Amino acid sequence: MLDAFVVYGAAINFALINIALALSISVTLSAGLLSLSNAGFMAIGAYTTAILATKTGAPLWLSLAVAMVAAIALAIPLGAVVLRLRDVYLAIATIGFGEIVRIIILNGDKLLRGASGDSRLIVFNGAEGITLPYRDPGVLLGIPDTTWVLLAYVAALVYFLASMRRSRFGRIWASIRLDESAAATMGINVVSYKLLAFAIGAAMAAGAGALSAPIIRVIDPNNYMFGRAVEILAFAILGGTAHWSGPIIGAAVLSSLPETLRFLKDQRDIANGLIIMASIIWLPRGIGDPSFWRTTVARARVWLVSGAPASHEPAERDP
Amino acid sequence: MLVLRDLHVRYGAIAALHGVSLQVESGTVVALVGANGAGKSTTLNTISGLLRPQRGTITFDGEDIAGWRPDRVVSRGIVQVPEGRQVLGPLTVEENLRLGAYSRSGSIEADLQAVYRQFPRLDERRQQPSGSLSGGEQQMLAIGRALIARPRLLMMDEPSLGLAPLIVQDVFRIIETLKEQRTTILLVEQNARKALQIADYAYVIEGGMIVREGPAAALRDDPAIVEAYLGRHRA
Ligand SMILES: Nc1ncnc2c1ncn2[C@@H]1O[C@H](COP(=O)(O)OP(=O)(O)OP(=O)(O)O)[C@@H](O)[C@H]1O
Ligand SMILES: [Mg+2]
Repeated sequence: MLDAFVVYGAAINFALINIALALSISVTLSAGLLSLSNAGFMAIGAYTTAILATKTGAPLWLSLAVAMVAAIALAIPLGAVVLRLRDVYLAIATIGFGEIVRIIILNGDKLLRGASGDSRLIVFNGAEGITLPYRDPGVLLGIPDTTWVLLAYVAALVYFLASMRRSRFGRIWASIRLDESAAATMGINVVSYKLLAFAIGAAMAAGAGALSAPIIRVIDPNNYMFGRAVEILAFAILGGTAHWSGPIIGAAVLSSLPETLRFLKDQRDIANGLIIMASIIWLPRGIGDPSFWRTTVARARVWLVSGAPASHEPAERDP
Repeated sequence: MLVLRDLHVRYGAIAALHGVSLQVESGTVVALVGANGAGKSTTLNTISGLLRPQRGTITFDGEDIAGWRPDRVVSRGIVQVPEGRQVLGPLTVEENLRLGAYSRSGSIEADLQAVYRQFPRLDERRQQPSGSLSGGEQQMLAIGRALIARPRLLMMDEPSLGLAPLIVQDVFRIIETLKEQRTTILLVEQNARKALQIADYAYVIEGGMIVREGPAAALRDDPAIVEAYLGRHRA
């Protein structure tokens, strides 16, 4: 088990971080919000851990809590402004937020030096970023503790999201996604519930960032740019958002593709792109779409029994 | 109960309502009839808070609710059955109904059962995606979803729109039942004949203005109304 972690440990950790990020964006998507702010909130989480660890030696659980609370505190006023926008306009505004976060990280020390009068103060350390000291991970049942923490975080997110979806919150977000004005005429306070989804998504992304810091170790602003924001969206879109498992599958597949395609060498990125395009064209509801798997399994069963491909798809019906 | 006074509403540069005034008394059915584009939906959407009036007041039980957010209007008991039904297709029948009860507190199970009793076809299709229902069934669902909110004023926007004649009869039978239960209804219809048969009082809207009003029975027999809205052959 430990041997496997020597080889694949880093890949597994990165996949778990990506899964948490994919789950975070699925919350806003489920309320019909195309928000690309998750990379920015992830940066806030990662820097929270990095700064607290280097300045105060605070334990990880504390920086996790601080990061999530800070993200919520920021998401509420930010959301109150940007959530008036819709669709691609919201996407652009939230990309802008990510850029602002990056610029603040790059120039934050200058501002802090001016404010504190200490001309040698280093908090964010600009483009160079913060490097966390190496720490030998503890090992439990052959799995490093950093991975256990991520696993527990992902499990908590899944549990939370699955219960949210079953509750009235899930129905309310779905109604806003499907038809905002119909939702409003049913008495739903659309603005508040959008804000709630935005804040929850922000907290989840910041939490993922906070837990990623000890694994990435070098926290610099280039990690959290536009490309990162789009990548997080790709996880959720590829996996589909109809079920909580979709973003997990999407993130797992996209995180492992570069590894799996390593044998293609220089053509790797092209193949990666082609696979994403193909699955979005042929599986627009995501590779994690439950009804796709139901029909596929049913077809395979018919095929195995009769030796002929099924000519009719079974009716799609939720149990 | 509901009083609109001199309501002006515009869509950007286009003025849709030029001073609409009307009144709905508690326990009555009031019809608002008019041709396509006359401003019927605009009037309802302004009452329900989807649109903001430029001028004028909307008084409900003595309180001016003009410009309120839709969810606050609903919380006062004004519930709209929107034009074109607008059921949330991918959600099941039951999920749609539960959303309708969103504005209420307390247990809704009894009301859910009451809606299922009133609309047995919905009962049989509880777990079916509402988008797979027929047009008539979707209209029943839209009405059921409004009723489960226990409206004090029910506003219906063309409930017979796009339905086959037999289903239209069903819909009007439901409205008849609601009327017998003394539900207060503001009914918007292009099917003026049916609307004037069922209503106590009626307003005729044209080009964003109320051009006629009176007891529904009187309008039914008015030659000008018959000419314009009920078709010559009936006169
Ligand atoms: N979203 C909009 N933007 C611009 N103009 C609009 C909009 N909605 C309605 N209008 C205009 O406002 C006027 C009134 O429209 P409204 O929908 O209230 O009519 P209606 O009486 O409900 O008609 P119908 O019987 O066809 O439903 C029309 O001239 C229409 O073109
Ligand atoms: Mg209309």
